[in-house]
Amino acid sequence: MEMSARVNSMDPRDWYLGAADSDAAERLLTLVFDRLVELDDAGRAEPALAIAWQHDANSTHWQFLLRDGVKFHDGTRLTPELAVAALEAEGGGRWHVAPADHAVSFTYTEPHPDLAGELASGRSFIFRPAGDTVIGTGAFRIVEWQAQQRLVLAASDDNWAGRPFLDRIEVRLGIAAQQQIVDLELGKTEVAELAPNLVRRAEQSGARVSVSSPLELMALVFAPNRSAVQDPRVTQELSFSVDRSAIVNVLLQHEGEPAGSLLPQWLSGYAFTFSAGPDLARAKQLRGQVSGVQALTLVYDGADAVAMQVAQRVAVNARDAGINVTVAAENRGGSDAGSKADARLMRLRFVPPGAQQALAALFAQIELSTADAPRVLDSPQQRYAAERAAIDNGTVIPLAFVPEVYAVNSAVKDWLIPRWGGWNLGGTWLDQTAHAATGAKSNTP
Amino acid sequence: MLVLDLYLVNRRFAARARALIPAIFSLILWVTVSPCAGADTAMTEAARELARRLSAELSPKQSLHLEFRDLSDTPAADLSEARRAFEDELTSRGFRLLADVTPNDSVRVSLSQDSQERLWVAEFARDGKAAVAIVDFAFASPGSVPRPAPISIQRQFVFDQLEPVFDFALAGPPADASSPLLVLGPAGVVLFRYNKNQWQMQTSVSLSQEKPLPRDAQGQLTLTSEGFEAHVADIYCTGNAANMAAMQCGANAQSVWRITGPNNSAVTALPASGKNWFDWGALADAPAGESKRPAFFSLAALSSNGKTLWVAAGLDGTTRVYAGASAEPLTSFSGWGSTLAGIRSNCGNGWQILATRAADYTAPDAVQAYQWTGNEFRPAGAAIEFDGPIVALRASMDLSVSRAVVHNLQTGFYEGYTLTLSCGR
Repeated sequence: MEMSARVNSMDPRDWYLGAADSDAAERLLTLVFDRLVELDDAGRAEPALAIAWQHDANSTHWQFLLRDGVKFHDGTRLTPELAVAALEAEGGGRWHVAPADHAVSFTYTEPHPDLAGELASGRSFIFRPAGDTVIGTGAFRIVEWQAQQRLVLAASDDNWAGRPFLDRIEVRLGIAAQQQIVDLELGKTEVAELAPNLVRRAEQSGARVSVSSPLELMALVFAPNRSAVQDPRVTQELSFSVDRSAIVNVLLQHEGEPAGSLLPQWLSGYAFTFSAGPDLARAKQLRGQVSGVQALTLVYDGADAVAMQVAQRVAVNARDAGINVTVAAENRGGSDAGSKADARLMRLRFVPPGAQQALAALFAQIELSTADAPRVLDSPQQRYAAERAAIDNGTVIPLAFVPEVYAVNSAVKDWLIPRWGGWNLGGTWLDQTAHAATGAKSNTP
Repeated sequence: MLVLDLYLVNRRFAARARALIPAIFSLILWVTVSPCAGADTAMTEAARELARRLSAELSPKQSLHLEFRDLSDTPAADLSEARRAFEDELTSRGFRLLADVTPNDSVRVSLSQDSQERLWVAEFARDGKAAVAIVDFAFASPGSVPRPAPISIQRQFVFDQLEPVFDFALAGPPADASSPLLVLGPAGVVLFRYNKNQWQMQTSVSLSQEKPLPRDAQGQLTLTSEGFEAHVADIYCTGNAANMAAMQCGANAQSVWRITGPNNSAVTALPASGKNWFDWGALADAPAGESKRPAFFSLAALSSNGKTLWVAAGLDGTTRVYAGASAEPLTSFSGWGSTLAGIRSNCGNGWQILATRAADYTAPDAVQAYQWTGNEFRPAGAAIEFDGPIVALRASMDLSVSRAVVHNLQTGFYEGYTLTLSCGR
């Protein structure tokens, strides 16, 4: 397999949401490390290293019963003490956890009704330090790790869910999307990440294109203290000028959805109430009401070719509405261009297990100020109001919902993208007959 | 009787089974109580609440035009009762409902859902601006969050052989490298073990037949705690993979087939002598003098609102759906093939029926999944094609997997597959 991101670490303690490689790192970590629970497609917790859990009526005391017979990859048995040590190492005090009899218990002073869902994502992997490395209980164990370059995994014969079908997985990191599709065609890889403009090529080469639900929002996020965007009518004017359908149909090659809201329909259930269409007449009407604004600066991730195209399209649309938008690339790690930007084109990932957590994390990613951040997102009505406010106040302009897209060699079977994305390779297998027919040079993804 | 599940092992690819441990030990104590299955009172009450909220937002005694629509994945949700409740609530508060659309007086009400619950969403105008009111409520039955379409049938090849096959089963725990494959055919039961990348026959035991088998006979292999049970027409055999020679067969009272379904339900099927179909066994609680249900080729079961529905492929090409002990079907229709299996999944409302096409054995066949909407079956996802007719569909004991036997018209081989359902693209 190949991946464009350059993952720096396979240590769960180094992972955090919002890091440049967090999505890619989590994808790899889930192959090696398990959590106490997993999420099903509806965002409900399912047994993993914990087989059962219960809580009191106030959801302040939880207990997770550990699965018997689970072993780390070095043969060490999983114990409550080891599970607690892992959670404490990752949680930074977040998990009020202690070992119990064949179980792990959590105690809080306030209700935590969604604790099971919280333990199914983020910094909640179960691992065991061993020297200068860490060991997991997952379907695969690490055979070789070269940061930012290469990861080699082997099947864990004693995995609690059954030995995976694949014997070995090699993941090459830092491979550009264009190169990945070439390697797929040459048989150097069985799975390639697909940029939208490469979907048609992949299909024509006979690969199977696998698409997830929309898992990411591309949006313009405005710097709060920039004078050019203090008047919300400016950002509203820009929003009305953007042709989101053209972005999705042309730049994303129909692999995505126009976004008028912050959360997609499958996650919020009310996205259809937000308009995603352009309204040039309305944009020009607002233009007539706003004076003094000459130009906006929009930056994008310089390593993201798709973001560049989207930013340029936004600039073209804005020009039609009378707004002069200057587009500039920003290198990761910050640059002068970033510090002067009025807006930033961002990719905002949705986090499980549900709309409440996804919206809260989204607001955190756009660094909404404390005064503006909605405090309560418990009900759909509250979440709707928070989204509407963020958009009407000019904080963010949603552009498109983007899925994960992969090209998969036809010999790869049971490749399924979980609802919340990521890789679930425990049940994936290779059709050796078809594999030989494709002339693949390696018998592992 | 403890029954072992059929474990899925694609031994041709040196695979291992994946033992999925169901969450039957979950001790989650939910504070909220889901509404009673069987009547979607939650949806109706939520609609009433939405009307109350809407009335608080609008001018008193305003005239309104209502539009209702269903954007949810809930199969064929009946909105009529909820709509009545919504309208009644508004009219009781002095609102007038208009038949014609008028500007600023239209309210569009949508049944929607997010990733965890259902929503009623009302879009209306307030002070000349667009506004939205939302009420959330749980799905109809606990744990039945419908997955989004499309549903797809996942096929996994297990084995093939030249001799005809009635059914097959894998015996033994998934982690055991020596788990044998049992294949039931007209000649008897054959035991295979996987060695050097292929199935190798270990031993076979013949059926004790007193008379020839019917043309197109049906057979079923069931794993038990003691070993296995094999039914072929009206022949019944019991055996053990560890001692195949000890298999015993006979045509006796035990040769009735016992077909299990969800909710701990089961029916007995009486193989018609010399034929390839079945008569219904005696039904518990059947009304006195009730006429018999018509004979069937194949029987499948699914769970609907906590009750078991039996779907029978009749000899006349009609498929009938039964509930309870009544001889009268809930509904009947034509167009399906004669081979059915019920399957439990994580898709839709959790239960689907797999059915073959209405065709003969000279043409390739396909399996289509159908979902029960409450009063009819609707196709769920695309059909999956095979290279020949499907001669058998059997459900695993936990109903989560179906076994398919296909006669490949190109190679002449009989192929065994496992079928499961998955959701998404």
